Order: sequence, then C-alpha cells, then structure tokens
Amino acid sequence: MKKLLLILVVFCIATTTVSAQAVSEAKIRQQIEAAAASMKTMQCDFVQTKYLRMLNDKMVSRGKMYYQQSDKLRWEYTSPYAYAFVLNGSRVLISKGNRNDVINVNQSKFFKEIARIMMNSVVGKALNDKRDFKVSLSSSATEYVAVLYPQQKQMQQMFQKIVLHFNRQRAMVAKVELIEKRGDRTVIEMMNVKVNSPINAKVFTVN
Amino acid sequence: MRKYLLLISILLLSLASLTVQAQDSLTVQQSPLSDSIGCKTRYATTIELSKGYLSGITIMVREADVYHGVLFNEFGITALEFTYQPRRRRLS
Repeated sequence: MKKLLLILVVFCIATTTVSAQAVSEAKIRQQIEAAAASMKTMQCDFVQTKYLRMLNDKMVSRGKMYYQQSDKLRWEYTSPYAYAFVLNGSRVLISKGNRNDVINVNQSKFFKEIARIMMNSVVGKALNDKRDFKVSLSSSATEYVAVLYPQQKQMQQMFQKIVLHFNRQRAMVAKVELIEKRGDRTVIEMMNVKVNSPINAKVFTVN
Repeated sequence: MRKYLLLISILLLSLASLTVQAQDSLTVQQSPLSDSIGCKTRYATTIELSKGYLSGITIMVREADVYHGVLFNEFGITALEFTYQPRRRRLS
C-alpha cells in the first residue's frame, strides 16, 4: 500500500513538473511573439565572428541591420568589406563594391527561402516555422535560448543547428549562432538596438 | 561542388605563379603567398559562373609542406575547405 502511494506521489510530481515546463515554454513563445508583432522597425549594429575550425582561426566583420515590418530587410557589412543584402518585398539587391545584382525571389525558390528564413530569424518569428525548424526552448536568468534544428534538406546540408539568444527583458534576438555541419561556427551579436524608430525608405531601395 | 573544386584548382595554380604587369610592360614573377610557416593570407574572392557568381573571403595558412584554406561567403557560411600541396601541385 505504502509502495503504491509512493509511486502515485512520484507520478503526480513528474506530471506537475512536465506541465509546468510546458506552460513556461508557452509563456516564452507568447512573449517572443508579442515582441515580434509589436516591432514595426528595428535597426542595430552587429558584430559577426566566424570561427574557422580547420584553421583554428576567426574573422570578425562589422555592419548594420535595418528591418521594417513585414518584408524589408537591409543587412550591410561595413568592415572589413563592403557588402549589402537588401530585401524589399519580392526583390533582393546584392551590392558588393561596384557590382549590384537585383534578384526576383519569386524566380528563385532558393533565394525566396533564404530571404524568408533570414527575416524570421532576425525578428524571432522562426520559432513558429514548424515546416523549417524543430525548436527547443530554454531560459536562464538573463536570456531565453531557442535551438532550431533544420527540417528541410537544403538547410540540413548547411547547418547542424541555429541558436537564437533572446534578451529576456525585451524578448528580442540579441545573438545568433549558426553552427555548420563540419563544425564551423558564426556568431552574430546585435548591439545599439533601436526599436520602432523611423527608418529612411532609401535604406531599402532596390534599383 | 566538383565544378567549384575545379575552378578553385585553376585559381590556385594561377595564383602560385602570379604574373604582375607593371606600367612599363615589364613582367614580374611574384608569389602572393609567403614562405613563412604559419603565415596567414586573406583574399577577397569571386568565382564567376555562367548563371551567376560566388563571392566571399578565402583565408589561407601556410604550414610545413601544405597550404590550408577556407572559402566562405560574406555571411560567414563556409563554401569549401581545401588543402594545396605545392610540390605535388595537388589540391584536395
């Protein structure tokens, strides 16, 4: 009888723990979704560090990012190279030095997917992309961490996983880690983040 | 991927004995890669293809008998890793 009671108590505790965890994850998703929905514009500086496993070396790049809901993104590197990726609706501008190339994402399934995933990752909407990622969420005192495991074959060939670090106070992406299949890692840290400040429309011009 | 390796082979073999044209049309043989072991060199890289181009950064490191290199795009995504053996003129 005592044994049965003990088993019952352990079972109840386990069930309560699981459901508490489930509620907590749901709450995290809710906060992140609410923050993403309320984000009309976002701009920030970023530092990108590429860790090269084969050479035991790293390379640091710096740039600026601009986002406007729902389909405008400018990702621009300022050092040590000048390179800009501008997404505006269905068109992408890739600007490198004197060379500018405009691509219609509707004509390229690959570019369309890349553009969509980039946009969703930056604002945190990738958590709801069940078609693209299996998501594991956790939290600490200062941040929420979402580990995204690619589900589509093309992405699986490139990435082992993508880790998004959310600032707990603002529920916004503060750091992105791209872990590649062979072990190379790219870390992008966002700083001087400004949310819902006006952005000049010229920033998203695709000529 | 094989196409890229072939293009990289051609690029590296041509880099190994780079010819520089000076203003007075003199031709100078210049090796772009230092002989010092541990020396690191970084290149802006563009590979032109018929339907577009691949651009990024190549970092090469000189070791005892080989050069190790990685080509990755501006977003930091690795396109390929390679090892070049100058004595055997072999790329892998």
